[in-house]
Amino acid sequence: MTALAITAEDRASAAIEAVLATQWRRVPAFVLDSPPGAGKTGIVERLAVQSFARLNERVMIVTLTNEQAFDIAKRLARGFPRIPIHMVVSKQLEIPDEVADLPSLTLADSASALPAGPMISIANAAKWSWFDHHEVMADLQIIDEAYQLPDYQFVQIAGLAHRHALIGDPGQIAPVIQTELERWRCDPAGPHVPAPDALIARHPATLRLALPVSRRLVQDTVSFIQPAFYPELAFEALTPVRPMGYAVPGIMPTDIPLDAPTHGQSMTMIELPAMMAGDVDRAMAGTMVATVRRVLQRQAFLIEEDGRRTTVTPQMIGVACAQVAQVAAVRERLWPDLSDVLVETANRFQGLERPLMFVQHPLSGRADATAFHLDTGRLCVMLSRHSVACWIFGREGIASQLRRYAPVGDRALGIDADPEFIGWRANEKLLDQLARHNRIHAVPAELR
Amino acid sequence: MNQVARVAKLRGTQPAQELGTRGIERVARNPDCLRLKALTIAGVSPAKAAQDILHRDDVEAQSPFALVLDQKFDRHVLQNGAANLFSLYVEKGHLEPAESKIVSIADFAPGPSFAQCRRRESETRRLLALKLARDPAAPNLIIQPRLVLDFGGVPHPIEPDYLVARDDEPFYRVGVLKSYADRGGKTDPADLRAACRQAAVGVAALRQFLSAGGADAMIAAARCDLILKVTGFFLPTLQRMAILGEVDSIERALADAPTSLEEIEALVPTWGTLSDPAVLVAIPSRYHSNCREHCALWTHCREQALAVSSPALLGEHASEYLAPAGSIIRAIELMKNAPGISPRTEAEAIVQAELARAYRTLSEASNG
Amino acid sequence: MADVLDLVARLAAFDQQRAIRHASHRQVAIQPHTLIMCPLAMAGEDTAVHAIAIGGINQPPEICVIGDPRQRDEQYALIAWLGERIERYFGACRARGDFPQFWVSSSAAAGHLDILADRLRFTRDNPPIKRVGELLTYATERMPYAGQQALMTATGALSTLFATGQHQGDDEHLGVFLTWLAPPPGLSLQNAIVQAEREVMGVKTDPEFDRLTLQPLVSAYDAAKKSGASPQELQFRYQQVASVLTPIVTRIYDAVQQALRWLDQPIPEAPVLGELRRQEASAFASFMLGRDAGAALPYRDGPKAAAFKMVEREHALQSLAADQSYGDRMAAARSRWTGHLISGSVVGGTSVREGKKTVHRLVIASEQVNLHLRPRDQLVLTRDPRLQVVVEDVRIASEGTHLHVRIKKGHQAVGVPLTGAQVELGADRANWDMLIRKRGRMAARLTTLPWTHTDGPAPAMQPLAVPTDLQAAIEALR
Repeated sequence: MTALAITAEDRASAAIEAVLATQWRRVPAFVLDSPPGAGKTGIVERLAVQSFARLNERVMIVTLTNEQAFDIAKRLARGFPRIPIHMVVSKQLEIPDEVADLPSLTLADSASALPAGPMISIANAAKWSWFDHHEVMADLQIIDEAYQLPDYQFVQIAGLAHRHALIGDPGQIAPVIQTELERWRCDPAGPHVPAPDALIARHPATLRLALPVSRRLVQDTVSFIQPAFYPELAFEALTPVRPMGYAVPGIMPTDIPLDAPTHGQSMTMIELPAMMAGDVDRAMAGTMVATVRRVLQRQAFLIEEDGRRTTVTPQMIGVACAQVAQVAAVRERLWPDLSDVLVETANRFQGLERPLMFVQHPLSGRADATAFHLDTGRLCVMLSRHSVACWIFGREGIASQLRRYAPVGDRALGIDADPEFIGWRANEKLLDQLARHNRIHAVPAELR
Repeated sequence: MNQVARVAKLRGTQPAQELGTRGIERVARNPDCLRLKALTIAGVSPAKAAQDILHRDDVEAQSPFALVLDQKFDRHVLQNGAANLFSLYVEKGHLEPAESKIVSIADFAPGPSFAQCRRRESETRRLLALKLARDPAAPNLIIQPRLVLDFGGVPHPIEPDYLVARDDEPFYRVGVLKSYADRGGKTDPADLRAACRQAAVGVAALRQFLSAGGADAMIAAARCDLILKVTGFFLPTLQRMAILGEVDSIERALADAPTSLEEIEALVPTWGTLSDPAVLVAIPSRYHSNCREHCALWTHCREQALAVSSPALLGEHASEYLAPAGSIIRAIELMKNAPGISPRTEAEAIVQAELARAYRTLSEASNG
Repeated sequence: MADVLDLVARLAAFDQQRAIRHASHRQVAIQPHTLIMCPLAMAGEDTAVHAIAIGGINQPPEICVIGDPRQRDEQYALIAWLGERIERYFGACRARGDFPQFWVSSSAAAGHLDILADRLRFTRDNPPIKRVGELLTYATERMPYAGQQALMTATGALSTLFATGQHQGDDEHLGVFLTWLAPPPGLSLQNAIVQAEREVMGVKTDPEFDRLTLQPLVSAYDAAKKSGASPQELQFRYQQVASVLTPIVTRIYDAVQQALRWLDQPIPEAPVLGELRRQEASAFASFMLGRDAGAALPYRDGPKAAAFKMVEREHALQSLAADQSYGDRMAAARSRWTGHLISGSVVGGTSVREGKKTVHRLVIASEQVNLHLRPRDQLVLTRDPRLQVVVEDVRIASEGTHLHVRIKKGHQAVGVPLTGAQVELGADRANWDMLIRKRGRMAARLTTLPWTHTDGPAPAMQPLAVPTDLQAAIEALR
């Protein structure tokens, strides 16, 4: 490309062209780092369609879960209805009707059920590892959410294709492996290491690409998320702002944080009084739900690009909590009238988005010595789901808790990575930034 | 009164010790323990405090067998102008054969006298300055340099095992020599932790030296070299690692130290000193289950924790989870729904509800 | 979280000032022919075994002490002595189709065996010693597997049955744990614990003991040997060393015996142990076949070996987690607490003809609110896993949760639970034999390693000319 990439859209487009060009250039493998909301799944689709339709190739798409496989199948079928797709599944799998009914989708349960010649097939990694064919069967293997695939699962499927595209978000929650890893801790390409990292450790010349924009996040959010969670991956927001407003003006002091997005502040923290809350913080659940109700009561609206106003409905709101029990506490308070609000744990929010998000800081009300890298992955996911505004709820004392429990180091010999410390520091950086930019609002008493 | 005098007054009759990298790194592990901080600033090791001030008989020393092995290994690596250490670096490709400028600081003025220590410090500074000036005569290996770390306004000498740099590197990297077994992923995590943290103290001292001279402190990178031993053999291994977290921990402790001295002085009566056991035990400590890994006072602090049935006795998770109850005894009362016992705060009520439910579950399930 | 259940057990023990039982079923298998091993190392010498006591349950120990483990010939003599016994034991187990089991005092001792095994099995100049290392490797490499029954620590096993009123890390001292189990009369528990702590129960002798007692004796022994002293003097010097180390290993050995007696509680065995025994026997049989074939036991793993081991370890962990709560009241209680088992009652149901089949649906009301469920999750009825259900919806009710499920399979074999019936749903039982199929599949798949997992270069392919505007071409296909 000879034209200068001037706008963010240009830069995004140039990056996508570069990704697509790898297949013409026959790059044997590349890693694509994708910040949240960058349109990663769209890249997966385009790569697959390009290989099938323009290069007459056989493509295998690898997902981590069945849900992700269904999602890609739907997107391909709706976006490219003329292109036939296959999904490899076991007979016992419950397939939702909206997927099973897709006209261009054919289910297959074995290698012989796949067509000879060009094709696009989708399955999760486990299914591909059990697949009844052991030689190369595809020209291109695209792995979505590659940072969540440990290398021991990658080795079981890598031999099925000539070329590999590993696409993922390096800031998301890494797979938690509970088995003992003592044998392999010092191996930078160990079986537990995420596939992209292991591939690069073995083949340092592997091409690394990155998507430089997020389509979902606004610039204000990126200015907090990127330095804290993605210091090595520079990216910007495609859409600088997405304004919102309220039909009913705010009158109470507790409306101040709610008004923050109307002044362009997409991330705000609501700080409750300090308290050790155990695994369920009912008062916090009450406050979060009261805040959701208040936003709806005040008839919040989003302002689209063409100036139109869209009233915020419960379906446009998401609540992310750190623990399952907290999810239950919030859900029981939203029931029955606000059951359309999506309430989930951070883990289950991966891959999802909502215009407005209300999140519970994972360290809120707890102060046990904790695995910071897990909490940081969770926090990063929670803070990157919203396209308009995000309110973070936490009890006062997180900063001092971080200081008290700074990790003393649980290291692997000769391995630079220290996920505990990096996670801890990301948490600290984020809070520090929020404080510096006056985004933290103390709520003196719980809202009911 | 200057800092050194203030600290001497605080210390009292107990003689000052050189706590070294070990002493400094341990205080950074428990930043909320004022007692450990007081002793460290004053230059008294927890082991000495336990033995000579509190007169405890349960202080663990090092086994003579381990000591002999440590000494033998050190000698093996560092004898003959650190020949074995140098070969290891060349073998690993981290130094060229020609980069053989090796200086042993101890050779300049071996011995513990004031003059000898000062001489070693000044020689070390001289050599570091050579490197900073990119003088080609700057050594590639400096064995047992003597640096001075300012902790709470008081100079604490530290002697890292060695420093290493190629000719084209801007500054030195800290090296730590341990006779621990290199077992890859199975290397003892506590040993590894201690080694990395001790190296981090060295990095902090180098950075202070650089800043004091107006140079960029960050050329002393947060990295270290670890010399460990092959299991069962007298062969050294060399591993390099980043120690960002460890250096960060030490630097935060250093940054907190000045205010700590004032805080500690406020806790000690004007007529008292840390050499007085009554004064020492009155300084608040923060006992947690990891203390035994690095602090000889742990048995004493545990007794104190027992006396108040502190939840810290049951570990970190319990410590914070039961914080609203304040003590194990109180937590038990709440758990058993003892007659006449009701939660005093909302936080206690939350904890009680869950403890009581768990207790019921436990009783039903284990007894049937 | 299940942490709270552990915490209240410890609080209860603290309250009673004695350990309490916190399991309803025994969690570990004790082989009747098990070998108790209590090695003592020399401080600083990671692979040096100075003395060892071994024996069977309720048997007096056989003890071997050497003068100085730093002397290679002496150390090898002790290892050979140990090796004879292990070889005999393994042979007997193999003949019976059974598996061997070692008991040590704590994880420090297990770690020491691990270091020994790693070191000895690579011995080049002494095949019998190498063999001992290989045999020990069986136990030490089984240790990271969830549910393994090959290498047991007394402290670990005791904590599956009993909770003390102290921090989990403190449980690793066997003497202290035994003190919690049976506090001596006439002494406060805390004083008894302080006393117990002074007695070594791991693999290291006390540093003061080393300094004041052992080192002078070992030095004298060494000096005698070096100076070519008479056999009588050498024997005398050796006996001096043996006389101070024998009581220590004997005490540790007796403590492990005591622990085994405590584990022999009048409670049923957790049903999953039957399967775990089978797994262990199978692992042992295949290990010994590997020995016969001279298969290597590498220190480091390539990607293929690592993948196999990971899959095996994951399989063990997941299978154990799936089966653990079946028939084990306390384990089931823990699973209910964390929301992995759902208890409730049927409050409604429908049976509707859909196409050719009748589809049965149930609504189950549970008091639990922390369920890890979402639509399309599959569960089974724990009392008869042939009945499989699919979650259709999870709704908050006024008192807990309402679970809407559709019966997928098994309603004819098991029957449809009636309204009012108490039900318990959980993940399906483990398929332990799946590992064999999985390994077969992996072996076929990994006959050749893909280039991504070798050191060789990536394959070079002839590039094509890159057209312009690749995205536009794709958009045109929509």
